[in-house]
Amino acid sequence: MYGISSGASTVGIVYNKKAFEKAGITEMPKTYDEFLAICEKLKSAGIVHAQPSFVSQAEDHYHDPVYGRAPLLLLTFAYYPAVELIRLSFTNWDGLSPDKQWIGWENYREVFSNPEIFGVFKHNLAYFVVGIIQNILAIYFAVLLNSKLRGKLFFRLLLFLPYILNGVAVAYLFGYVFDTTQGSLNRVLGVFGLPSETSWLGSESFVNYTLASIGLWRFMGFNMVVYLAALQSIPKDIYEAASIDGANGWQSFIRITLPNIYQIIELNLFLTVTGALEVFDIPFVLTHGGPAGASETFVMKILETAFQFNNYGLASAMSVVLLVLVVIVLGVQRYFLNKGRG
Amino acid sequence: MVTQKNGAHAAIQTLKYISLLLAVLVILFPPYIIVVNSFKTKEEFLNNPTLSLPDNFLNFSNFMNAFKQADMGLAFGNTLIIIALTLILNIFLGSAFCYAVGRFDFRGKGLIVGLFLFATIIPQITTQVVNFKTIQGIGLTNNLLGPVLLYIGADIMQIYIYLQFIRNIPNELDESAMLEGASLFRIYRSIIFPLLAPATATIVILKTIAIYNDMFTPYLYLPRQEHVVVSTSLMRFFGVNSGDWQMVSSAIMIIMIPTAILYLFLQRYIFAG
Repeated sequence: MYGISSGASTVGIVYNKKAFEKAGITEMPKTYDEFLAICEKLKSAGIVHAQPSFVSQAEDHYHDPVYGRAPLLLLTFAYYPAVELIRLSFTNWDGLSPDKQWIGWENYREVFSNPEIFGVFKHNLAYFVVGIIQNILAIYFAVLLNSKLRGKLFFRLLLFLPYILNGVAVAYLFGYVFDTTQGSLNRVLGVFGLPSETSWLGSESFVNYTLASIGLWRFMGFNMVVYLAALQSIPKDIYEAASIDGANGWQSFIRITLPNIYQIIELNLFLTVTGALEVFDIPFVLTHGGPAGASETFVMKILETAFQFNNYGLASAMSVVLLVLVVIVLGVQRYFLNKGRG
Repeated sequence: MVTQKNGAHAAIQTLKYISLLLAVLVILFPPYIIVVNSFKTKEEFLNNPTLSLPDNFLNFSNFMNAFKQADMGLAFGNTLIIIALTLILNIFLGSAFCYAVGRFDFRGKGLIVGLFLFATIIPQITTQVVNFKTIQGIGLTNNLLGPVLLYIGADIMQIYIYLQFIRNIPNELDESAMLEGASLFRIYRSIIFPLLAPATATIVILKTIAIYNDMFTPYLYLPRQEHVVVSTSLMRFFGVNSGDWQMVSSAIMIIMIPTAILYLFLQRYIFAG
């Protein structure tokens, strides 16, 4: 989901009884009351101790229901699916039948050899390009709003606004903006005497850029606020010292600002690239992959393969490929950025 | 020399404002279109330019129609149930976990925190193929509890916010409570949790907005009409002919207004996160 670059999305979790039983836990609190009951148990154990015994006592708690629970949730709910995914990717499971036939690397061969599957990543390229522009804009506005400026709180408020709006609503909103005949964008262009017949969502050549620009509209403010937080943590006296030494604005930006927000740029870039690989909601709602599949994204393909064609094995293999790509991106980025930093 | 520098300074300042105003225009243009058109009647919509203001800002008929046609009463109810259940469980789990991790040293602590960190790079969407089957396996598809179960997991941001807060709570408070015989749960309940209130407020708001805006989970796990939530209610207008844009506009407005209000009034907490 493109929303991944929100950073606010939840980690996917799943409930698995079998895995819980393996972990030695047969009952799992399903309600808040049951949680409280477990806590009461803990309370009645009457653990009273002073500082020195902290460590050894805490080790016992590690095996104790409540403190062990949250990481257990994570393991079963986030890592179990990942492992299961890899297993399924070597089968031809249809999602229904009890037997899952082992077919080796067949699914992976299909993913890489079928242009209809792997070729879809071409469409994701547009989101990557626009994502880079989005980050440059975000840094620009963050630097602006970090300087002395009247009304900067107001501007920050407004630029961040799109991020908190409902994604489906935003998709429809832009469906209207980009509509060819009724669309407000074409009307505005018409007012200025510019070509106003463009079919923004109907052109195979740039439909992905149109869609990606919606992502820019939505997430630029979020990136900006993240950059802004990083900028505010740079001590002001460094800039003062630099200006006394005769550095101009651009020089202090290159020499002071950029190196200081290096890690945040790295984080935002990672979110941008993975966001581009995982785009889903906007094209799904707005174009359903059209025209003629020109705006289909890889994630849409995965879901289609699994839930429409019931080819869970192939869908799993595609998911694994995506997962591996994300890890590669992270690795490559770390390697080059660390090298660049010396 | 000085005036020249001042002149350049003023020019730069003007450029800054121009670029900011441009950005604001781009941001506000789409919502503006929605606002003005949601109040228009069908005739107005067809005869007047798209960008013009409506004749009557008190024409709420589109809103009524949209609300009814998309079954939004039900949608808001369902969304509220999901959000409330999720928050209760999530806040308890998340804060208790961070209390344990933030206060005590135990074997494997680094590993556990690392696992949380690493989990963020597993794209949520890729595991859906397996997650869907599991949720189906325990019979929670077409059940509001399914999404709740998927949402209650703590994400890295929540853990980060809580841990930062817990570190700022002085250890002496715990110790003196312990000397007086308070149990660990008692300490968590009476000292730690109340002191985490500002962090909890931030997390509650961010979570609420995230769940409210999520379309994917309800779309996949709650396909039935009776379980419609806010995000999916809007999808019913998909493929609507463009003649009905004024009604779609008001539907979009209805959905955007709650988060917009939440945002404007509680922004202090959001930016704290």
